[in-house]
Parts: sequence; structure tokens; C-alpha cells
Amino acid sequence: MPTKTIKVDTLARVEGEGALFLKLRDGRVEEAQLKIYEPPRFFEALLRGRSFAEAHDITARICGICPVAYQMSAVHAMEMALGMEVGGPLRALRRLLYCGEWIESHALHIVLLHAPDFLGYPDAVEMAREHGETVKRGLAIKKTGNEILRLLGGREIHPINVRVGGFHKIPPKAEILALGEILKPAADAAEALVRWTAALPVPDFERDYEFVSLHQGSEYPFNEGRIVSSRGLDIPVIDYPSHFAEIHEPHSTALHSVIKARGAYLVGPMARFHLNRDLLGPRARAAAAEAGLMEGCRNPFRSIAVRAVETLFALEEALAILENYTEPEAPFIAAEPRAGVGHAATEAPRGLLYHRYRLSEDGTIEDAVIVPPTSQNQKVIEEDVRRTATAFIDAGDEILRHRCEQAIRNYDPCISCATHFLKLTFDRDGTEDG
Amino acid sequence: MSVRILGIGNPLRGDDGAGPAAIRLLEGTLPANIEARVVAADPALLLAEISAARACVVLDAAAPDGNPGRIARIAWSREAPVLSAPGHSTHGFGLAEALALAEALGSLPPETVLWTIEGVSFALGEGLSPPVASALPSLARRARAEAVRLHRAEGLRRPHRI
Repeated sequence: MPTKTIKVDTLARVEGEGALFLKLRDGRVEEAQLKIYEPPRFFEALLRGRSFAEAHDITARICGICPVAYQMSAVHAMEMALGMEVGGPLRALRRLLYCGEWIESHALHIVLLHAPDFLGYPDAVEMAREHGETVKRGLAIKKTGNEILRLLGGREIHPINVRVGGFHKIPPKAEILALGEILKPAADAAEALVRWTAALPVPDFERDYEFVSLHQGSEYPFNEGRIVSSRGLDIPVIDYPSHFAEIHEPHSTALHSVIKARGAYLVGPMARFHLNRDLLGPRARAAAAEAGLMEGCRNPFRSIAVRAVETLFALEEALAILENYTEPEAPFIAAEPRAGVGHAATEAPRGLLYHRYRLSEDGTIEDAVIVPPTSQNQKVIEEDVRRTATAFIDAGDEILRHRCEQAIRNYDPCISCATHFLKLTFDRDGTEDG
Repeated sequence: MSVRILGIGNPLRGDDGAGPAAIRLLEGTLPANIEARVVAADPALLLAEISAARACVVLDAAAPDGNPGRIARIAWSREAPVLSAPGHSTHGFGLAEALALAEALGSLPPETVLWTIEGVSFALGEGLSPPVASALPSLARRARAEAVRLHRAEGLRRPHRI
């Protein structure tokens, strides 16, 4: 059957491109197959035979944008396997580090990757010419996240200070408290960013998603909690494999994550917000209410505003941690290797990140399973893209591709860093278009 | 610091480490007021580093295009669309966008020159390929010469103190 391929390749990308295949018949999207994320099988294989103490630094290389998330899921899984509990000031510092990652990841996405779509600009550069102050403000917010990572993580973008049991070194208290000086103005800027994103024009688009996130009941979740959903799922993390699966759909090249009993589900800021919004700090809650989000949000095009709310929350939370900070007695708790299985799920900026490891007696990793948030969202994104493509089916190829990319960017997948990342292939009514 | 030499790249991805490796070669060899730094391929961090200089030399690996180790010089200007074409940057939202963004925000130094070295492999792993490794000293020399030239030009532009 004749196909038409549209390929856009403005920049050489090391990570690989996304591929969307649309089968169009009689003005309808008969089939939509999306592949935007390769499961990290290479890393799962690489981890076998390595020590439990190495997993977090190895897995952090899976995603250059969210290394803290990989480190946190890994160390928590190892600590579970080894029967360790890291609480008190070390727990608080881990939350602070995660705040840093949410701040820098969300601010970057909102301002440089996503906002241009809503205002009709082809990219952030064009948007910056007319919205320079907003872009500068977003980048200034991002920088505070990077500063937290630099201080606590040892480097601005790839932290090296995390280990099983805590940290290699704790920075002096004065330096940690000094972060407050940059976090306070950033929180004010984040409040303005919520208002700005909430005012962006968005299409009417709602679906009855099943939202999945951590929930621990007393704090907006980063590292701990049960896994819950908006359709009644409520399980401990160790039961993840019993309820979730990765399946190969017929006719698809991509793996899809499903809840075994029901199908597609959504992780990320919208899910976290839906399931935990009453646990946001007061400023974030107030900003979300003003933005009209507190009644609930099922429009993925409003995820940009939810991300802004979470950015404000992360800054507010970081300031609260500083206010209550006491120095840990030791930088880490020593780990004693033993055989066992450890599971953990933590909330990466993009959503739930699940790790599972099986260790032998001396702490060697026998096998590993890693399920990233973008892989879990792949099925729900594909369904969103099918609906979007249906709405723009007659609009011409360039507009169709742009709208599909915008729909995908609602989920902030790692691949969306390139302005045009989607290779779009059509099969139109069995005829070849010129 | 009036002139900066910025080396961009990820040392964990083969030849993408060429920029940072060139910076290491330059360490300790530069005159005062010329600073060499490794910068993560992160648009916001890059922007901050670029905006802090009055003139900038940027070192980056270029995607494979049939000439491994080839060194190229591109003087930045708004009309330099070559920066957006394949073969000139390995980063998605990376160097080309960071420079364009700096310019759109009014933060781009008046003179910015890009020196690239064409890589062979950008797969996961540390270490440069032989053609890149052997061309690296040449890249570092040219970067130093460019920075010195820019610094002198900067000095001539500054008003004399009486």
C-alpha cells in the first residue's frame, strides 16, 4: 500500500527521533501508532553483575534531564532490599534535592519547550523576541533549581553526591540556608508564571484518564507513598508488578504500559495534582485555585499550568525545608549487603518512575527492572494524538505535525527537546500524495 | 573575565566530549582575562555562561558528515542558518538555540565565534575516537588564538583612562 513520508530533520539528535504513523481513510484516522521512547533495556542488562552501590549513578545516565529521579528510585529500592530506612534530616535533604530537579525541569519545559506552541511561535527563540521578560524569568527560576543541584548534588546537572544511605558529603549549614536568598524571589516569579500559563489559550480537550501517582497522605509526594489511581487503585509499591504490565500491542513497534485490569493510564504532574492537590503548600494551592485548577483538571493542554503550580510548590517546599533544617549527624547510613529484592517508585518531574532490583548475598545486582514515566504514558499519548490528528486531519501536513507535537509536548517527554522531533508517516486512502 | 572559551558536550557520549576535552588542554595556558570553562549542554546554563562574557569562543562537536576530525569555524550572526543544519551541532535544543535565544534576549556578546570538530561516534561511553583525539590539540590552539584576538579587539574598543 503506498505511503507518504514526511520527515523533518533540522538538527542531528543523539537520542533518536520520535515516529508517528497515521493511517487515514475517508477523512478519519483509522490508525495511529506512536513511538517516542525506547525502554531502557540496555541499562537493565548493563546493571547485571554490578554492585548495589553503583545502580544510582549508572541509571542516572538513562535520562540526562532527570538524573535525581533515577538516583532516588534506585537508592530507595536498594534501601528496601537491604532493610534500611533513611529518615530525619537526610530524608529532608533528599526532598530538597528533588525540589531542585522539579524546578529546573519544569521551568525549562514550560518556557522553552511548551509555551511557544500556545502562542503560535515556531520555537522559543521567536517567542523570546516578543516575550523576553517571561523567558528570562523562566530561566532565572530554572537556575535556582540548578543551584540546589549544584550545592546538594555536587554538580549543576549530573549530581554525584547521592549514595545508598544518604549523601557522600553534606554541605555546610550556612551554604544550605543561603539558598533561601535565591529561592524567595524565584517563588515570587513562579507565582507570576502560574498566572501567565493559566492565561494561555488552550483547546477544549478532555478525556477521562486514569491518573496514577504516589500518595502518602501527609505531603505532596516525591520519594514515598503507596501507588494510587483515580479509579480506586491503592497498592504498596511492591505490588506494582502484579497490577501493571508492559505489553506489545499487535501492529505496534512500541511497548505499552497498562494497568492489567483496565488499560492505559497517565502519570506526571496532572496525575500527581489530581490525587494530591490538597497537600500542596498554601501558596501553590492559592495559585492553583486562582487559575481555576483546584476543581480538577482533565485537559492535557492545561498541564503547562499544572507544571507551573508544581514549580511554585517545589520552591515553597524548598523554603520550608530550609526553615526546619537541622544538620544530619552523619552524611549517610552504612549499608550491609545481603540477598533480597527491592522495589521503589518516586515521582520524577514527568511522573512515576519504578525500579526493582534483585540482589545476591554480596550485594551484586542479579537483575533489574526500570519503568520510566514517559514509557508508561506512551499509550495515553498515542490516544491523545489520535484525537488531535482527527481534529486537524484536513489542515495540511505541517499544521497536522505541529498539533501532534504540541499534544505530545503536553506530557513533557524527554524527546521533545528538539523543535521538530517527529517523523510523520501517512497512509492516506491508499493513494500517494505529491 | 572579558573573553570566555566555552567547551560544550557530554563526556559520557564518545566524541561529544570533544568540547570539554579541548578545554582541559587549554587549562593553565591562557593569559589573564581569558577564561576557559566546560559547560553542560543545557540551554539555560549555556545562556548564563554566554551572557556573562563580552566575547565568546564556543567549542562543540559536530555530527558525522564524512570528514572525521575536520575543524570548522563559524562566526555567529543572525544570518548564519548553517548553525541549524545537520552536521553542525549534536545537541537538540542546544548550542544553536542557546545562541539564538541569547541574541533574542539581548544577551549575546557582540562577538561570538564557534569552532566545531566533526565527530565519529556519539554512542554511550567515554573516550574520543582517534581522528578527533589527534585533531584536538589543533582545535585548542585555534580556540586560544581566536580568544587572544578577541581580547585584543576588546581592549582597543575600551575607552582610555586618563
